[in-house]
This record gives sequence, structure tokens and C-alpha cells, in this order.
Amino acid sequence: MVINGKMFRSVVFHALVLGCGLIMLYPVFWLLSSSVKPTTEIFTSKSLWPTEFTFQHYSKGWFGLRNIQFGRFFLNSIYLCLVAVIGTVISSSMAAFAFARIQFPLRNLFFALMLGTIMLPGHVTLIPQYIMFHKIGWVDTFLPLIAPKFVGDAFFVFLIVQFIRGIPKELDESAKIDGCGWFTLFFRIILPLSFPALITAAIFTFMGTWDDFFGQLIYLSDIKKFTVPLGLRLFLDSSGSSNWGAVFAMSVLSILPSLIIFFLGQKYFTQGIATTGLKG
Amino acid sequence: MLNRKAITASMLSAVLLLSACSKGNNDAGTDSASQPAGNASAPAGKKVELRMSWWGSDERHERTQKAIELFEQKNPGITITGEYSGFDGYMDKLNTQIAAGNAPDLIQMGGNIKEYVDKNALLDLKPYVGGILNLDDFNEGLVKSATFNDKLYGVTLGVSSSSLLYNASMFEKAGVALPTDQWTYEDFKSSAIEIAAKLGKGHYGSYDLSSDVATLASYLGGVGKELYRDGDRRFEKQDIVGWFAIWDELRKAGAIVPADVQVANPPTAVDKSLLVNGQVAIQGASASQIFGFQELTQDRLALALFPNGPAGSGMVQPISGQYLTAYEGTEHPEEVAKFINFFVNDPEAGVILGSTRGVPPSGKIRDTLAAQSTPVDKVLYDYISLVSDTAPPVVYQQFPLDNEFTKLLQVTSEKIAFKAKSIDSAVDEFMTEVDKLLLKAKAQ
Amino acid sequence: MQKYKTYAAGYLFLLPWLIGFVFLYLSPIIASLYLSFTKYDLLTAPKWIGLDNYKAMFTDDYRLGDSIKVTFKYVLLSVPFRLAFALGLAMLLNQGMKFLGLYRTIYYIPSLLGGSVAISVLWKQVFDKEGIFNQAIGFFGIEGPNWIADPRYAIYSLIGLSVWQFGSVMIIFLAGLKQIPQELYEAATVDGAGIFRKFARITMPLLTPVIFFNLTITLIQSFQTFTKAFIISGGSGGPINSTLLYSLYLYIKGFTFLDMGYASAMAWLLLIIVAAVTGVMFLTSRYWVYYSDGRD
Repeated sequence: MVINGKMFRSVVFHALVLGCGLIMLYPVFWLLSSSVKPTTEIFTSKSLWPTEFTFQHYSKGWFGLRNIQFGRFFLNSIYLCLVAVIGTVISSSMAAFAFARIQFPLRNLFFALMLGTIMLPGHVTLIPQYIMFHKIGWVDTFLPLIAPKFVGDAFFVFLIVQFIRGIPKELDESAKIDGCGWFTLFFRIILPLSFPALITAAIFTFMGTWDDFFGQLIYLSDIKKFTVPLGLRLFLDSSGSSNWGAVFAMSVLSILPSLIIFFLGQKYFTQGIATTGLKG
Repeated sequence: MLNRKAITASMLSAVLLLSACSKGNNDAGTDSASQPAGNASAPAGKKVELRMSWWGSDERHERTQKAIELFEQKNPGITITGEYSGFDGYMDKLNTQIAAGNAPDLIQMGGNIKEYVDKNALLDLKPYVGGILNLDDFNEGLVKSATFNDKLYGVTLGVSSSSLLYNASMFEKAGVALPTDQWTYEDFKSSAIEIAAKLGKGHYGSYDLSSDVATLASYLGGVGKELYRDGDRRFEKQDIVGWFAIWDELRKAGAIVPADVQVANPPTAVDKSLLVNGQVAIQGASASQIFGFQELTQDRLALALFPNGPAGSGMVQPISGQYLTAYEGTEHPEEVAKFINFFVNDPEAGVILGSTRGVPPSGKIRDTLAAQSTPVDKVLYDYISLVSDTAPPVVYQQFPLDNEFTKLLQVTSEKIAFKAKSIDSAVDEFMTEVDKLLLKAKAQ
Repeated sequence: MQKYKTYAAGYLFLLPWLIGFVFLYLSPIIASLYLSFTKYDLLTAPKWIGLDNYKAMFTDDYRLGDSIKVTFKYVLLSVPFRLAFALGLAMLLNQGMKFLGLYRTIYYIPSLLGGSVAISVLWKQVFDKEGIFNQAIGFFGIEGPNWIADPRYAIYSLIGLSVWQFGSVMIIFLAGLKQIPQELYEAATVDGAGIFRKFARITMPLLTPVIFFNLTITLIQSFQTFTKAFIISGGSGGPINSTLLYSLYLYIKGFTFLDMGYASAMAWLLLIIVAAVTGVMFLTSRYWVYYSDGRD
């Protein structure tokens, strides 16, 4: 494999991939640099390199709020996201299995209805949904944000359906000949084989929940239950003064959990099924 | 404006002119906690829990919470839970809560209070005035601004006014005289043109204010018209044509920010305004916003009146920037009134809150704060008193369906600035839409 | 008997979704349909006005027409670019090479910023008149316009933002590529197939379910794009309504102008449009999507 021409090509290739990636990351560098610039410099200086480094924004953002630390928001967000991930993966994969592999009446109707739920803009179901959750006393708890995750999200159900349908059906047949029931088939064959899709769903759920400002804003009121997106907005009064330094500093930190999850998670879906599957 | 700087010592008494019926200021200036007004503690054994929502940035959250803690200390038996956030989504959440009958007992409200009054979402506080709620230190105009059909729906938290915010350092750098109290649109034009010319490419005398409702309202006042009164518009097509002509002239002279630059750097967003990095000398703003702007720049910022027109000043009397209102569905109206009273009258609370919501409405509190005000505070206080001296004593009436009107004016202004339409045809369209809005407002 | 057992299994696996659908989604959806026939300002009770909202949409709202045009433009341009970009990079990053994890992460970071509040400020740094993008093309002697603020170009900066955040689509493609059994390629290599034949005979056909998924979902999501337009235009959809995407206009109507009845009617119109597009996608899918399970 190691031929000189090839090596040269590979260096060029890596340089290109890395170079383009870094250009795409310019806004991120800007964010990073603004988080350590003095406040008066953030919007007035064009340079990415601050004249003086200050970590004041980080300490103001983390410790600057009365009676609460930003860390609390991180814990809340992480809790919410992890529960959401568990709920989504379980419920979506179950529904997906039903849609992809089991023949039952009204299947296509239900599938269409499910896709329909993501076609109606959420802004118009928000008020009725809020009223409903208010009536059962769920407002200002995490429940209105968590419960829907245990239902299964159309996006992920559809995604997993597509992956399951990519698995040859002969596997099912042979499993059934071996006397496997639907549950064994689901747990022993289908789940392991759609592992990349499940990891993808898990990562996306984590990030989507992490980022969901509007839902969390509407349902959470007590500052002790605030999440990271809500915490960030505490510094932002678009009608008056904003503490942009703190917003940028906390934005940088708020990307980290998703980044770590992604970096760890991608190892798994790169393994593919050739090594993880076909053992069942 | 300049010589006014000299008399900062008396600025607050000047502000006091605002409060014609103020009981004087002899006993002010103390923050001894001796007299928390109307502070009979709640009946023993009865625990009252209230919720209060407001928007703001970290500093306002901190101060408001401190004030709440002080109130709780002085009123055992009442606890208040703050529900606070930035401004993004604040109204959306409030509307949702009202729709579900789940709104907080105490609500910080902005200029759109009337909309909520009309929909019966707010509590009439009139029964408590004079008893639990003491408004003796309040100027009549401020009380009136929250009075509808002889009922009181809110208490002013901070006085502010529309204004021209300018970068004084840029004026000085360009060698252009600072705006005076008497300046006219001719002065405004020549200053803007001169600043743009002297400071060179990428620098402008002013933002394009043709989309700014407050500036338009003052312009109409200056030509003897009004934006709106009692169900009708009080201006004609040629007034609006004249208005856009001024900005067109400045645009052609390169004195105001070009349309695309303005959209990318809207003056309304503190973080995007080009005033702070010394590229634009004048913009419109609510006077109390000066704090947010000044924080981001080393340049000296100041406030100026809108230019005079042939009919004199079209300035509008200082307004309530924000109100504290009570939710119509609250179960504890008395405690709510008590808290409102504390929030605006208690001297200690006054010191804690400072001018985070604009100039405090109570004369006594203003005097208390005078001793510890910062230079920026002074600019603001000064300006507010100047406005109350200058503005004609007319009660300003907001255009109904304010949000829709604001958007309409903005789109019209953009159509002209981007040359998508001629002034004449854009204004024709504007007038048609304005009349539609008026009809719609009447139908409601 | 066996048949009913199968039905039971199907419904059992579908149970969480069925329960959730009935209890969490169904009533809000029906409520919004009802509200679309009312005048509802959120603060007072809704009033029945029959078809007035729907009539007004078609006869008395020029902004809605503008908004639909902008939305279609956005969808038609952003979806293909986003998919092409994502697929291209996914294939590139699917090779066995060094630093793969790092590269994938780098290309995914923009998507991590998602709807972050910082995006509006960041995007301005890139696409402003003096932004980095214009500086870059300035090298080649091109003077770029103000991408975010000129009504002729503003929609392109929005499309750019959508393409920039192609990461999630790329990840799904990557997962799809990984699902293709390595053995097939090995067998093809033994048969002497080249890169292009492998791509045309193995990769493409086996990837069609995932392509179909990405295409459908990206379409549905693009029609409803809200956050990007909201953040970039500061909630206005400006300049001159040039970024007034359908969902943004719907939000402004419902929450800013407090006309939730009208907004609900708009939502149902959008539902019909999107459902029609999705329906067509599903109908055509049987001609080009290949499922290993043999069902169509």
C-alpha cells in the first residue's frame, strides 16, 4: 500500500479535508475567541486574536446568577437528554419493528398518521397541548418534555424502519424456523443489526433535546429546573442589555456534551454490522 | 444638551417636574428600612405563594431577586417565586399561560399593556390605590398611561422615552456640533451629511430611521399632525411622502446607512448596532437602552431629542417603559398589590433595583438614587427631564395593532430603501394597509 | 390463529406509539383543526367563524403568497444541495483512513450549533458585506453582495446555513453505508469489479432506503423550517419578507399578531401541501427504492 505517489496523494487529501473543515469552522473559532475577549472588544474588533485574554465571561456565566449555578442547568439538561434517549430508542425501535416486519391491519394508515404528526407545524398544537398538560398538573415538571419521547418520534421510527427493511428477510425466516418468537427476533436479530440506526437515533435525540429551546421555555418555569438553552437566554435581553460575553462562554461549554457524545458514539456506528451482527 | 451636563446636581429635581403631584422630597434620601409602606404582615398561619414573571438580563434578574428576598423577609408568610428569562419567547410563554389560565400572579409588561387590558387578562388595581397601593409619589401621566376606562391595570416600573441615541465621540471626531434641544430636520440632515463626509467610507451620520415608529410619530407631531387618535389616523398620504423624502435625500447623499447594511446590523439589536463600533453616529432607541449600548463601547454615548418640525417639537411625553401588572386570575389580589407597592415605593428596594428598568417612577426613590448614580444614569435622568420639559402636554395614543403597524412601516421603508418600489407607490400601498388595520381594529 | 397472533404482536409493538398518539397528539391535533375555523387571540375564548380564515388566506393575504414562494424556493434549493453535500462527504469519510473520527467530528460541529442563539451573530460574521465569505471571493476579484441583508440574496444565506448544517444528514448516510455488508464488496472485488461498478451495483441500490428516508424527511423538515429564519432575520422574515418562510409567517400571525385561528388554518394548508409532496414521494419510491426485505 505504501507507495510514494500514494503517500503524496494522501497528504494532499488530508490537507484538503482538514482545510475545508477548518474553514467551515470559522464561526466556531469566532465564538471561541469572543468568549475570551473583553466585552468592549467582542463586537468592535474584527481580529480573532483577543488583545487580552479574559476568563471573566466564564466565571460570570457559571457563577454569576443569583442562588443558582450554571452547572445546575447542565445537570438538568443531561438528565432530560438521557431519559429522552432511553425513551426514544425503546419506543421508536418497537414501533419501527412493527411497521417494518409485522403484517397487521391498518398498518399503512397508522404509518401515514405517524408521519402526519410531524407535518403539522408544532406552533399550532402547542397551546392545546399546554392546556392539556396543565389540566393534568404536569406544567413546570419535566414530564411534558419526557412523555412524548416514550411514544416514539416519527422521524426516528421512519429512520429505523428504513434500516430494518435493509436487513434481508431470510434472517427472520430462518430464525422462525429455529422457533424464535417475535420478541426473540426483535431483541436477538433486528436490534443488533440496526445498531447503527439506533446509535444515530440516540445521538440525534440527545442533541435535539439539548437544543429544544421553545418547548423547555414553555413548560419549565422554576429556575431550579432550567436547562442549558434557558440558562443561556438568562443573559440575553434583546430589548435591552445583554451579557454577550457570558452567552458566548456558556455557548462554548454547552456544545461540549454533545461533542463528546458524538465523538464517542461515532466509533460505534462506524463499526457497522459486519462485525457486530450476524451472530444471532 | 451640553450645558445641561453642568447641572447634573439638580437633575433629579428636574425630573421631579414630571411628578407634579409628588409630595415633595424632604424625607427622601434615606435607605433606613424604618417604613416599609403598607407592611402589615399577613395573617398568621396563612401561607401565600405568588409567582412573578419578568424578562431581562442577568443584572436585572439579580436585582429583582434581591428585592423579592427583602420583601419576603419583611412579609413572612408570603413567598414569591420568580419566573424569569430573556426577552426571547417571554410573550409567547405568557400568552400560552394566559390561554391555559395559568399565568403568574405578577407580570412584567411592556408597551403592549392595552392589548391585554382589552382582552381582560389583567386585574384592576384601582380598589387598592390609596390603601395598600400608594401612588402619591407618581406623576399623573404615568398613572394615566395604565388607566383604561377609569380602571388601573398596572404600575410603572421605569420611565423612559423614545430618543435619538448618538455617539458623541464621533461628532467630536468629525468636528460637528452636538445636537441641541432646538435642532430641526435641516440641522439633523446637515450634521448627518457632514459626519459621513468627514469620517469617510463606511461611516454614516445616522441610521435610516424611516422605519422607526417613534421617530415617525414625532415627525408627524412636528408638522402638526398625529399618528392616531380615537379610532382614526391623523395623517395624510403627503405627510408620509414627505417623511420618506427626507430619508431618500439623506440616502442619496450617502449620509445614512444603506439598506443592506442596516438590515444586517439593525439598530434595535444592541449587539449588532454600528453605533458601538463608531461607524454610525445617530440611531433611534428607547432612552433606557443607553446602558446596554454604553457597556459595549469606549466611545461616549448620549441622548438627543427628535428634531423640531415647523409646528415645533413632536416629542412624546416620557412613557412607562415597563409595568408591573397583576393577572386577572390571581387568588391573592391583596398580597399582589402589597408587593407592587413595595416594589415601587420601598426605599431599600429602590436602591437594590436601581434603574434596571429605566428611571424609577417614584420621586422619593429617584432622590435616593441621585447620590449614587453613574455618569450614564445621569445622561438618562437628564434626558428624561428634558423630554418632560419639551414635549407638548398631549397624551400620546399608540396605533392599534401596534405589532402589525410596526411591521408594515418597516416593510414599506425597506421597499423604498432597496428601490423595490417608488416612494409614491410604496406609500399608496402603505395607506391602503393602514386603513385595513384601522378597520380590523374597529372590528375587534 | 397464527394470523391473529401476528396481529397481536404487531399491535403490541406498536402499543407505546398508539397510546401516545391517542393521549398526547390526537387531541391537540383535533383542537388545532377546530381552532382553524375560529377567531382565536389566545387571551379570550375562540369564536366560531366557519371558513373565514381559509377564505382570507386565498383572497386577502398577499404576504402569504410571498411566503409560499419563498418557502418553495428554499426547499427546492436547499434540499438537493444538502443531500448531495452530505452524501458526498459521507462516502469520502467512509473510507478507511487516518483521523477519520476527527474529520467526521469537525464536519459535524456546525450542526451541533443547531438553533443556538449565537448563530445569528456568527452567521453575520460570515455573510455580512465585509464577512469572511466576501473576503474569500474577493481574492478572485469578485465583489460579493451583503448576503444576509439584500432582499435578492437573503434567502441564499439561509440556504447556505441549511447546507452548512448538513451533518445530521451525513451521519444517517454514514450509518446507511455501514449497514451494507462488507462481504458484498469483497465478493465483487473477487469478481474484478472496479470502484464505479461497486458504487453503481452495490452502494447505490443498497443505500436507496436511506436516500429515500433522507429525501423525505429533509423535505418535510425544510417545508417547516422555522428556527433558522427566525434567528437570522431577528424574527422579522425580512428584508421585505424575503426570508419569510411559511412557518415563520405562521408564528408571527399566531403569536405576535395573536391570530391563532388564522395560524391554525395556515398550518392545515401546509399539512396538505407537505402530505401531498410526501405522498408523491412514497408513490414513486416503489420504482427506485430497493429493500432487502423484498416487500415494496
